[in-house]
Amino acid sequence: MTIRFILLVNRQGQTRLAQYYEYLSIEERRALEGEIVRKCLARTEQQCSFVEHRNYKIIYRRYASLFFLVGVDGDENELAILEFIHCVVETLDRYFGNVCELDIMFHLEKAHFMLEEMVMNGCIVEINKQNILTPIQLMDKTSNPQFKLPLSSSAFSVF
Amino acid sequence: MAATMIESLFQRSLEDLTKGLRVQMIGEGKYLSKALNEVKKEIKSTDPNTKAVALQKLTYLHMLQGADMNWAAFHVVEVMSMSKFSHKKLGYLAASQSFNENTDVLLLITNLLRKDLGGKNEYETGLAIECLSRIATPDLARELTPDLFTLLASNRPFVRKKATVALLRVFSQYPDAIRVAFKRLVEKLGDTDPSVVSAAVSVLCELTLKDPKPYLPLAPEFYKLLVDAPSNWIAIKLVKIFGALAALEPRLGRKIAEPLCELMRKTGGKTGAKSLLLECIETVTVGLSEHPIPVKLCVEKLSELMREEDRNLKYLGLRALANLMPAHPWAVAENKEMITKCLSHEDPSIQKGALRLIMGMVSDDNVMETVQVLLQYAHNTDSSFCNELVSVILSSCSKDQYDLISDFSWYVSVLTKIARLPHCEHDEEIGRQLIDVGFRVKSVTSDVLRAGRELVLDPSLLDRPSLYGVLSAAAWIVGEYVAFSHNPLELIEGLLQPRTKLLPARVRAIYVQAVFKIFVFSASKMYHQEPLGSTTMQRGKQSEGAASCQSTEQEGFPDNAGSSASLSHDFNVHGTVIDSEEAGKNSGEGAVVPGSLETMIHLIIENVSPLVRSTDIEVQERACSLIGLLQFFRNVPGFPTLDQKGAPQVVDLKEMLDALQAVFEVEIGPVSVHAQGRMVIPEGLTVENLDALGPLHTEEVLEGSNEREGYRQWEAGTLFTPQRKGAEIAQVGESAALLAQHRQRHESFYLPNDEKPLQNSQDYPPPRIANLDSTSFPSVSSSVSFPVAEDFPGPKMPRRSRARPVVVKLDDEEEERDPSTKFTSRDLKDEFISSAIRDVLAGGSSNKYQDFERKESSRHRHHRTRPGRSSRHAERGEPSRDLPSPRTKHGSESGNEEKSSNQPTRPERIKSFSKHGHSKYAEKARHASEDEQDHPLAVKSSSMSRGKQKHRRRLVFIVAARLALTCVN
Repeated sequence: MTIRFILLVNRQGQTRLAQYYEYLSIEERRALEGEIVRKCLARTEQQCSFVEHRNYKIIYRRYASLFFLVGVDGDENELAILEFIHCVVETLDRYFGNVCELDIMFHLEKAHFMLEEMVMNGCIVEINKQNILTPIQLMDKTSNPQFKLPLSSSAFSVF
Repeated sequence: MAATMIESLFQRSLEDLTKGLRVQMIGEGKYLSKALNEVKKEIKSTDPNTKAVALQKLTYLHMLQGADMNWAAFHVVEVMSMSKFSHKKLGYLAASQSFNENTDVLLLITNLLRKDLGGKNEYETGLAIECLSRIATPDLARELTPDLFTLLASNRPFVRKKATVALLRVFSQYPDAIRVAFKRLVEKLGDTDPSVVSAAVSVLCELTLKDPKPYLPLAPEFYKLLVDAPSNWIAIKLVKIFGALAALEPRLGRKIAEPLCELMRKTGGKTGAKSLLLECIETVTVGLSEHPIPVKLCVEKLSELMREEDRNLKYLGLRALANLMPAHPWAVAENKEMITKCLSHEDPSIQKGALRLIMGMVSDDNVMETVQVLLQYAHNTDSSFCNELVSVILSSCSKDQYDLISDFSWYVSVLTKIARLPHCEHDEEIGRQLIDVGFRVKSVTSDVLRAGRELVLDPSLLDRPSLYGVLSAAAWIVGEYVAFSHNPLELIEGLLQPRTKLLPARVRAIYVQAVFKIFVFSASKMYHQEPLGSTTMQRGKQSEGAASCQSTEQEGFPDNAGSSASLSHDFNVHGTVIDSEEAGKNSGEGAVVPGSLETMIHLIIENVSPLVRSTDIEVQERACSLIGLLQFFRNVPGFPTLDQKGAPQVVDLKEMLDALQAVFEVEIGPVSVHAQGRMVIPEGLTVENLDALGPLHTEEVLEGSNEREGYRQWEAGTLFTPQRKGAEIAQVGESAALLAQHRQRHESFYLPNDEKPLQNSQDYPPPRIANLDSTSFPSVSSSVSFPVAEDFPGPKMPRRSRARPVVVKLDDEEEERDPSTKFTSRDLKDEFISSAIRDVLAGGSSNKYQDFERKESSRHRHHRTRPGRSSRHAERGEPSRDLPSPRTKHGSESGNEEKSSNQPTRPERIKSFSKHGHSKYAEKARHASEDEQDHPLAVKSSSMSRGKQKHRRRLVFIVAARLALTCVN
């Protein structure tokens, strides 16, 4: 297992999305998140994007007000993970259109679904944006007629 | 019906929930608990939509706010089994978020998963695979491996990809699956869909990194993939795999060197993928460090990367250099400038990386320069990095008994400089090293004393708690080495200055003790008719740990008269205390002494008397004895003048001072950790239970039997009994002469092939190490392996270019540091994965996992869940062969068939038991019967280890039997 967890955190340190690929009890998660977020948020722009914490390597990247934190095993390639984070952001961007924190908050399940398509059991399985978005777009079309799509993807808009 | 309609109409969606959270007025906690209550109500609804949405909300409350969702496990299963995809998805999401191996409803979902795995909708299948890959337990994995195997051959790449990744978890949970599916996994490397290939490579990469060995046969497939110019993602994984494999198989390294170089050249430009380049570098540093071409290219690329301003690249570059350093120190030396610059980087992790490299480059040639630079940085940096720097300096300089240091007076001055750094928190270690250097390097004792004196005299240091460790060391030093001081009075003034009140009791106690020693020294020096001072000075001259007792020193004295005279002359020049022959003859000058002694006594009584009432017992005790002694002296008539030399009390006093001085005179030297073990047990000493300690004891003795003799002699003061002639030889020749003497005397302890240890090293100055154990002498100088920094690999530079003072070393201190006994524990399960893979790749089919399972099951039996299997367990977990045949009144214990081989006499019982068919009960009965047996059976057994084993097994059985009984009841 390479990726152990993915966290999206805003500048105030509130978790916006959390995905763990190994089972941790709620207390462990809270403690871990608290420590990591405090550590990463305190870092300046000039410091590098890698932090070692316990037995994890945390790779983080900041986009506007959102921090993307990925916890990986010791021997994972840091730069590759940075590229992966960028790929996640691009995918979210493509779906929501200029994604922001609110998009992720109000469409958590979508964001989560995308992440699930990209990473499975800690392995990165898909980085082709179209492949990632196909299932979710299918779902939008078919399953839930009440669902209000983000305005930007007007093609699927119901109202 | 209407109720559910209303429910679903008025239910808040996830979106409402998050929006509400932002505008809530009642406080976040309250809002969340309200929401949670809502969810609890809604999740019981019969309307699928309401239920699913409730679960969705719960999942996110769990994810973001840490709400507990274990109570909803059954509802999760309900939602998972709904027919609508969007509902099902929510159920699966909740399951993969919250289920773990302790969730009891896991048993219910096997069929559900199987149905979904075989479903028509590929996305449903995808959901099920994904869920399996997250929550698979050994049971689930075993049941579903066949389904997964079928999916691997699916015609939809989406499914194939997910099934491939799921294998990783399934393998780790149920290694038997490897036999079924591993071949197919390897086939996926040649899949037409790139994402499937990527998945397969990822899985294999993960497996390989755990234990590379079994995957060597797959190298050709990986190679083919690598040269086929895959996407960067796949290439990264492949290169990583090769890094692990090449470390095992040198021929592979040669083979992949070329493609790796190609990749590096391709990715090196401004636009190339840095991640892949970095991976290549990593692989080269780890696996291909013997291949000059890739290494050279790699270093080139590294300095390119480091030159860029990117902080991430700097960090990673430093790490790669650190990997390279052990084999290629030149690579680090080439980039020295850049690395030093990194010390002032804003990122502490980059600073640390640079520091590690710099200290790795340190050799005895550049240690002074490097430490100077580091100290400069330490002055201008924040406290945490300053301490980091200090601890690195301290640890690397003291490594291997100060191997790097040749100028010890410089090192002592560095230690005091470090101690005065404002942020320094390593006072204990500095103090320890000061004392240690004093012990080991006799030639710098006076420098050590000077350092101690400076520290003790400086009143501004006394209010800094971070210095107490150093101060106590300094106080001890001035007490111990007072013989080197020109002015003991000054030392006492320093030790008793008013600000010492600020010191904590433990340090104060050391201060008082130091005063005691200094006083005894000065008094006895003055009173002694013989020039005691000169003999004490000899202590400084003796470069080895002589157990100096008064008599030997006095014997040795005449030879040394000249040097002592000149020394005492020094004393006269500096004036305050006079000791030596002249003092005796020339009473005019001696008159100064009683005066200073008088002052000293006044000073002591004035300042130490209050301490008699100290609340700390240690301080009180020492103060009491000091004051008591002074009172006694003062009662002697004529004290402290030399007038009444003949008076009986004065003679008594002299004797007493001699005795006291002799106590402090005994040289303290470094003591080997194993010293205790080498002590011979005196005759007539009977220790009970000594045999029980036998194995431990003999081991140590065997290890050090050769050293023993030498050490004992050293203990007794015979080995290095100061040979005065030897002492006259100049410092340079001294240790060599001693060694030669030692060799002459203890020829038998020298290795035979070591004919001429000194002549052997013609091009080196003689290694000046007074090694107390001669046997390991030849290896000492070669055992050190600090990378040579400046000029690189070529033939190693002769190490010692400067004369180095003698450092007392005890040979076993090195072996003690040996970190080779690093215990690596690997999961038993990992072993089985590897062995299974080895079998699959080799085409074998021995079923080792069964053995594993057998062992496991004998450890903890699950009677609870699988009655069908427990009978198998009963047979498998049967360690009957090891049991002595316990014949008891319970015939039932013969119910285990395997035992029949050992007990051919009782076939009819076996038959009768097998009729029962319930081996569970058989087992229970057997355990019960064993429960009644007593342990002596095990004790009777001839071999001790066997007995122990049985005993353990028996305990396991008893526990298992109890378990079984409670389960049945």
